[in-house]
Amino acid sequence: MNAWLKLQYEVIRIQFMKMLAYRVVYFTGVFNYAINIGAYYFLWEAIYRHRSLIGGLTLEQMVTYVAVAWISRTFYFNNVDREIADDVRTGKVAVELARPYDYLTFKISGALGEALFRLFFFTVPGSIFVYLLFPVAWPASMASFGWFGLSIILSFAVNNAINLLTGMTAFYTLNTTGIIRAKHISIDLLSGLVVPISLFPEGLQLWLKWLPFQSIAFVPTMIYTGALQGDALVDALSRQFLWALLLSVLAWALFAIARRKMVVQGG
Amino acid sequence: MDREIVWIYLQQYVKTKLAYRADFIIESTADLLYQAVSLAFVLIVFTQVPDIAGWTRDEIIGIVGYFMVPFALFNCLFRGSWYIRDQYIVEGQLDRVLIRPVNPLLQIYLEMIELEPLSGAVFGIALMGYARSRLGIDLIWWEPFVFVILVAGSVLVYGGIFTALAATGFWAEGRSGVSPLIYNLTGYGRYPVSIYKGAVRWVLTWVIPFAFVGFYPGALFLRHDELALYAGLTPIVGLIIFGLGYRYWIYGLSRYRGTGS
Repeated sequence: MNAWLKLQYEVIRIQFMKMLAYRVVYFTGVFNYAINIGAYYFLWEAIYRHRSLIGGLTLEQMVTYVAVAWISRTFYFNNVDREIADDVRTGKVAVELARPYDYLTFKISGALGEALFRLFFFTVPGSIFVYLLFPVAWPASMASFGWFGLSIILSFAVNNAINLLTGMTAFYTLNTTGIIRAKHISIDLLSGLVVPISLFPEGLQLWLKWLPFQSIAFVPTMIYTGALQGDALVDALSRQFLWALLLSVLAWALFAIARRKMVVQGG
Repeated sequence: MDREIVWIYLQQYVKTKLAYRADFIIESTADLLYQAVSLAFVLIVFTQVPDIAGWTRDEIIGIVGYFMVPFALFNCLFRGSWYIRDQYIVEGQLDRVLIRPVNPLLQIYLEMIELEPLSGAVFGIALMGYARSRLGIDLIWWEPFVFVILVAGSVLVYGGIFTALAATGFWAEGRSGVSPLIYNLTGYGRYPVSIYKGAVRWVLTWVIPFAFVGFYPGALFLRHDELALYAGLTPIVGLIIFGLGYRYWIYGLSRYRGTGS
């Protein structure tokens, strides 16, 4: 166990250092997020002209929602799906499988290292920048902020598990670029990043309640704003946790099946 | 001569695509999905409000629909602008292009052509048709011709800006990340820029003229005649921007010394 932990620590550390070499890219990334938030900010400002409430939210709450949802994305986002797909496509996965560690655990630890890097070099500077630029409200309370912190860690776990599953489609098809793009786009909408899920038509909201996507963006952001409290908060966090667990187990199960029927290209 | 070469390039392109039919379908679907999400935003917002700063649901759908057409054509024809810095300038593929007797920029854009985004253009035209029929707008005989000219102008605005950005690769070799920055700005032109506050509107009209890639020409087909002057400027703005972008590319190219390998 101790050796296992030590190995994971090393993987996390190396991934962190690797990302550190490309920190300049993340510097412009901060501006990219600001531009995206700005697009929605200006748009919502126009939509709110002559009205004070939309779907129960004020303009300030909406702007806060948009900003917090995008900034959270700087933390949980990663490209593990593309990395796995590339490993399979190039045949590198064969080498990885021969190594004395579990491939998926290795990928998850790497993603953790990346998330840690993103937190310090992307999320924190991004937050400061966005707070200065746009009228974003502070968290509803210290407690809300604490639960929000826990919630985005679970967002990361859910999103990462979905990415592992998406990456594994490479075992069955080589057309992964389109699949990965389609996944990104669907998650942006279904997670509530583009529009808060509370504005969706009610029928759709009911469906989405039974899918994992709102655990990624909608739930943590609503916790930040203080809209989720008490029983609703516990319920939302448990759902996030269950999805993270369920999807990760599913990823491992599928990986166990996939590696048996894997065909390594070339040689 | 050049026309013949364009034809040969396209033939080769179709052949390579036919080898990977499943890719083609999946990529087209992904492109369509991307447009569907921006439409979903509009549809969801309009379940909550009757108008956005005076613009109705059908009008916004019409503008978004127009926007999708030049946006798709740009991604189809000018995709090469994304690869000029890394693959052509830094890796030196430009050397191969330069020894051929055809315009180098034309060669790059032809090599990198991609037909998948066209699904978005079809979707956009369908949305315009939907919006216009809901608004009771009938087709006038000159509209298809004007549509083609305005779309061409809009595509040239994007083409010029991204050609110029690609040409910065002749000076700065590292990845600057400015292109994705500007690319993200394209989202602003998708909606009526008149809803934005003064400074944003001004920038989108006269500095980075993305309003000419969606709003101004799109409004013409929704009979917003008060904007017809701006719509009419579209091809001119397109030619000026592309002309400047191309000049900048030529200037950069004259400094190119090869990769030396």
